Amino acid sequence: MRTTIAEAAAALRSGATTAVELLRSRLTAADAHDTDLGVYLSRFDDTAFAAAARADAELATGQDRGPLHGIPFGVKDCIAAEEGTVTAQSTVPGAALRQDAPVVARLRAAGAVLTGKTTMMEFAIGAPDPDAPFPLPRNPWHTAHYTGGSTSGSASGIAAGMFLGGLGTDTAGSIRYPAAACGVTGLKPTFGLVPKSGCIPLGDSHDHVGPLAATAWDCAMILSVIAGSAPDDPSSTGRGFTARAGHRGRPLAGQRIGLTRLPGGNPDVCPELGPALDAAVTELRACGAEVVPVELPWYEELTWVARLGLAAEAFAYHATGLREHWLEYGPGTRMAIVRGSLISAGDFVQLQRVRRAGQRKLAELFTGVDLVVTPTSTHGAPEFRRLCTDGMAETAFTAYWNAVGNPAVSVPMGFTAEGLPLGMQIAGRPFEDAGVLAAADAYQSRTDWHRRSPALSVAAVEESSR
Amino acid sequence: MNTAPSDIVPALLAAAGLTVSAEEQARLIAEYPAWRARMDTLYALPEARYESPAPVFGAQPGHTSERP
Repeated sequence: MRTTIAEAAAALRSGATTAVELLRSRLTAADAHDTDLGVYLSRFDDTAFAAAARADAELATGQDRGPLHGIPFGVKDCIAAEEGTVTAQSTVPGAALRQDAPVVARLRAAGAVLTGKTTMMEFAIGAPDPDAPFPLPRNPWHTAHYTGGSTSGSASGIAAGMFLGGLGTDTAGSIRYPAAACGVTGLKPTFGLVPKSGCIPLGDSHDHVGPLAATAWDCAMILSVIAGSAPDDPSSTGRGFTARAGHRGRPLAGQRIGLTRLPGGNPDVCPELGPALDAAVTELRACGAEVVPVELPWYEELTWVARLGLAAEAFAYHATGLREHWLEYGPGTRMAIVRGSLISAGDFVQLQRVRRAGQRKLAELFTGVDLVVTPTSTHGAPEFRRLCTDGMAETAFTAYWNAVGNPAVSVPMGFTAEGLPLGMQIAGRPFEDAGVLAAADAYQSRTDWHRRSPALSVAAVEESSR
Repeated sequence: MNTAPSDIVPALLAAAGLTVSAEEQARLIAEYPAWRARMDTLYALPEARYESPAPVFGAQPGHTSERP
């Protein structure tokens, strides 16, 4: 059974464990499994134990910084932390970000314990590269399969119990897709709710920083810490987020949920997806929600807006690097980014025009429903030997929400016949992240997919030793 | 004007100052028509024709469109 942040926070306060013990058990799991899983790019054991000891001392004297106090975290390595220069999993020289990003500084101020930086796709795009001098992220449910990306290590590390909370970035699904593939919960917040400064960008107007954890409630607690204005982020809206106790098991009576079974009509799905989605809808109805079929407006158009737009933005960021270090970029990375050089300035402005019109169309849909539910992707995590980057992008129903900026969470909703996790995506109106998380929390109060642990995990090792 | 992808793609890559392998260039040439067609469909959406583009420039450094 996977431990949640909420449970660990309670155990820290009841004296059932300490932050140092909690950290030690997680790092022991990392020692045992990380060679197989490739979760960490770098570990900060010394500073993590110091932070955990400080958390224990503070909690012992009644200085309680909130539910993340003493909780071990992993952070995607495109988000800066003062322990080391951010690499974005690349050997290409880049911006020397050495100060904590605002989101990392906020986690630290809340008493969270930063255990290390986690693996990702190079610069959050492309494909896993076995020839690169970095760990290859492997799925803890089946190591012949990928974790999904680009927030690979933060998702697989939570699944394996190496830490309880994670940070990632999501430009076309890079939090939600690996969350689904690894059987954890991951939120892309509303654009502008969480500051992106201190992060290596991929596509500036599509990038989102967000939380991953075992549960939607854990994600809500993380979001309440990392959300809020940052003066150095031009996209920051100044809004904050408060995790309210009402999220817990809140019934969905009166909520109208639009269901899109196959956005874009993609018929190539695994056979377990339909029954898993049916079962999930049954649970949402049991929570009191009315579920009605809907069609997402401009699904194909807005999905392509995100793909083309992020390519243009990524090319602008990397143009100099590509000219000077073409062969140092991974083959998949450089080919994904260079496509942006084929898009004109006029094209880019038109993409932004379509986004605005698409937002209006989607807002019309949201006058009739409170939330929209889709699968997160068509299949479980792909096998490495069958991995095709472009094909992987086609299997995820996530990029649409990056074009419009609305909040969307992926929650575990079952498994394939091979034992690989499947995800359900729940999206809502802009800045109604609380409603999205409340629906996910209500669903998780009736299911246990999010509590299951793979064999390569802390929970499985603890259970086998009993 | 020659609009063949085999002319356009090498020209755009050269204009961007990029030197790619022959294999990579061939792949980009092959997929360019599909990308271009996708882009062109986005010009054909009547609802978007007179819409304001999404990025908003502000006069203040660190501009935000909404303040608490």
